[in-house]
Amino acid sequence: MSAGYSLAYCEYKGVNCMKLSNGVTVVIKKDDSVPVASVNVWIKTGSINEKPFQAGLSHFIEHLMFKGSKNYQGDLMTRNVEKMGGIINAATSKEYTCYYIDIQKDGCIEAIKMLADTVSNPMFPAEEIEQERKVVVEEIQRHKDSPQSMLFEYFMETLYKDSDYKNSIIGSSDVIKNISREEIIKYYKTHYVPQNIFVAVVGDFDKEKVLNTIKDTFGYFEKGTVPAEPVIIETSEKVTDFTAKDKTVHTYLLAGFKGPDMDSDDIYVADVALSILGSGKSSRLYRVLKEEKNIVFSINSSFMTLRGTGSAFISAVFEPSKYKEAVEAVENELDKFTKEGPTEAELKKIKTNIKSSWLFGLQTFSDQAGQLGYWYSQGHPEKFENYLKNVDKITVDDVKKFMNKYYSKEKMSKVSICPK
Amino acid sequence: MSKIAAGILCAVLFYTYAFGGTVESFNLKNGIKVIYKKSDTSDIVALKIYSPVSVLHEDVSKAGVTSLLYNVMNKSTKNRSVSALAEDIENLGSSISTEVEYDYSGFSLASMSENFDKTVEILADMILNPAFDEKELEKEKILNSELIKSRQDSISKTANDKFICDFYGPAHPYSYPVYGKIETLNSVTRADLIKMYEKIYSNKGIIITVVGNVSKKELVKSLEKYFLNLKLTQPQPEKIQFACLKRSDSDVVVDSKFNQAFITYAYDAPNVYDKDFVTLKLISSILGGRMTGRLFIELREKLGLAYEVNSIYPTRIDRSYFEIYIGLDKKNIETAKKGIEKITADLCNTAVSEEELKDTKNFIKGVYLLDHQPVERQAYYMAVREILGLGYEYDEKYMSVLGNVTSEDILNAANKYFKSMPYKLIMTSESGDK
Repeated sequence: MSAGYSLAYCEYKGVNCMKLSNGVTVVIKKDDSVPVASVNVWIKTGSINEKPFQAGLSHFIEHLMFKGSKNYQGDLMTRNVEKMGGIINAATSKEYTCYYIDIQKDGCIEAIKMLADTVSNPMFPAEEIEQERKVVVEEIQRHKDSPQSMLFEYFMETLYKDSDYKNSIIGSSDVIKNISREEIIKYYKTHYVPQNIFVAVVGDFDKEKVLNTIKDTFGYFEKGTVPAEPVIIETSEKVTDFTAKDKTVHTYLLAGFKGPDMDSDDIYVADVALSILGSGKSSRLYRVLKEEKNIVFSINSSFMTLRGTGSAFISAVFEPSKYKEAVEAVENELDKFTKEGPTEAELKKIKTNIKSSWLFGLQTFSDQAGQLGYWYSQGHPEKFENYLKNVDKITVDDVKKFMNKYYSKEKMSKVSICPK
Repeated sequence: MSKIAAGILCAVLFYTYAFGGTVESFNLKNGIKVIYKKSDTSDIVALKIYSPVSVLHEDVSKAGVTSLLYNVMNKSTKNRSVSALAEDIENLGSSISTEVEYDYSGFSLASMSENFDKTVEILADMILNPAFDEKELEKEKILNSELIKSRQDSISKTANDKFICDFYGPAHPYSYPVYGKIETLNSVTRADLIKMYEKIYSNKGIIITVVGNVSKKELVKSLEKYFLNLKLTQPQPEKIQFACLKRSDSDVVVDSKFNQAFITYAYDAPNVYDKDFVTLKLISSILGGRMTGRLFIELREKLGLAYEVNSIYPTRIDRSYFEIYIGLDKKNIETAKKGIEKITADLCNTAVSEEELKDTKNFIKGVYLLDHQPVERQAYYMAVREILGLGYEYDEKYMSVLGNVTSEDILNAANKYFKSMPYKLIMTSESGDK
């Protein structure tokens, strides 16, 4: 099998991107300002790719990847990373699973080799699967003890009716306790195919060596069939609310409405609009609900960009007796904002804040590799490359149009956890 | 000589930073020590201004006064209303946040280079011209009370609050969260805020650290323009030492509302000035903080008892603690206790191998490099070392001191600290298998 790669097809601010002949996408950026490097491997699979009997399997596999591969048995990979002065970790979301190593520069090549072996040759030892089931079940229990985590779960289940974004990332204890090794391997083989793998490396390294190492490792991953895309566009117009009773001290609220998907250029105006509403102490929701009316202890809003239908949400914490008042005040502010739009001054302020957050948020090689891995794996690197430019183009009228297109009181789901 | 240059004392020190760049230190005319490092990797700047007076120096009958003071200072000034202050900062795309820790307190500023001077002007206004608005104070009392209550919605915070209260006893400011106590917040008055403000912002130990893309000339100009009216008259606080509490050897068992159970073991541990400080930091990395730490391997990987298990050794001016904690199913409490006790006993009985020692040191060195990438982290580390009296250079010396720790040092420290009776908190859960 050929392990070559095509010529770089893009070059953006020192970023080189190429595709290996088996379909693995590679993005690298050399920067020798600090003697460290970050190696990220993004797999385009997460909870949206799971069937109900697999609930939590993407996340479980993420854990099992640390249990040994063909050339790095047991915990050899983790030991190697830490003894070379690095950190290794992983994360699973609705849409992706990401493995990363941040390490001193001398460990960069070995980090690539280890992650390549891990994602292409995992051993899934039977006894380790049994042991790790217990660990993940404890993680699920811990998750259930966190009101914020549970609120997000309920919110996604309530907002998304017919798309796979309703699937829980952490999944079900029953599935984790009972799913067979065969099912685990079957899921792995279906989704961990080269066309679903994105490698991002940023840091202080020899470019030629890094490219050759990637070619000699990820390049030999056997090409597979790309699984069908899950349902990512939400078509249901049904809007419901949900309240869970728990032993919390306060009431936790997530109120939100569906927004644009990643193919749409509306994702920029979505970020701008939701930031004007609830990002920072001078934002509308903070000023009115927290400072002026004293209804909430905390409040913010933002837009969650997804490959499919995204969501705009307002998050607030307040005294249980203030539920009605809080919801009404949020709705009033959103109605007013939709009707009037932002002021020029608000728009200017938020653009400056987004630029500043962008600069502060990309300081480390890990931050940069993470962003590159995310946007490339989701199929929209141009959104990352042109983000600030496109935010800068947004007008007052664009924000008003966005709100009128996506928001109305009737379209907003209110999800809360209240004390019993 | 220009007026600005004349404002700087002659004692300008240069220190080459292994992480890259040169660190300079100098004093402003009013005595404030400034530690500066130019970093041009991005057009951003981070600044920390810390005072050595904080929660540790509170009267415990006014617990929470420091936190309330900073919350109120962060709301308005004599020149800027609540809305004007928030607007002015955010119009610049900057952030100014408060940092209230037990041993020091201050502000953290982050801005784009182009708006650095304007942001420093606002920060100086917040520090020099606080409004101490009564109405804001009353609001903040409620918010801090609710913040303390909301800690009961987190298993680890609930366990932590119980543990520090028992471990330090009610007379010690380390015994409550930095936000204070619900029962004392209401008694804090505007006069208390002013008294605490005067203690904090007239202290001669105040320092400023700056890392980012701003020239020294611009920095000096900004600081001289805005901070010279800060009069430092009070001596640095005396080192405080509270008496140790006598402790029962029985477990403290508490029922909780959570699904998981939670165990905390806390051993007495020395302050930051003790010769064993670095050795215990290294032990903390041998046991926890990583995936090949002994706690992780033994309790999570081999026994499958938990998702989260770790050790913590906080850096403190007064006596500290070495904590081991684990969140687990209640049926596994006894197994976990035995596991923790075996791990600490092993450290006391068997010297750490040279290989494990070398690997742990390499891990710490790597994490140091990775953690020092953002400008705000560099400014933070230098500020913390300096404010604790170790000197900002200690941020680098720390690595060489750590490099000299031997397995014998570890064995001695383990025997000294882990053989004494730990405080043991067992928080049981409602659910879980019997």
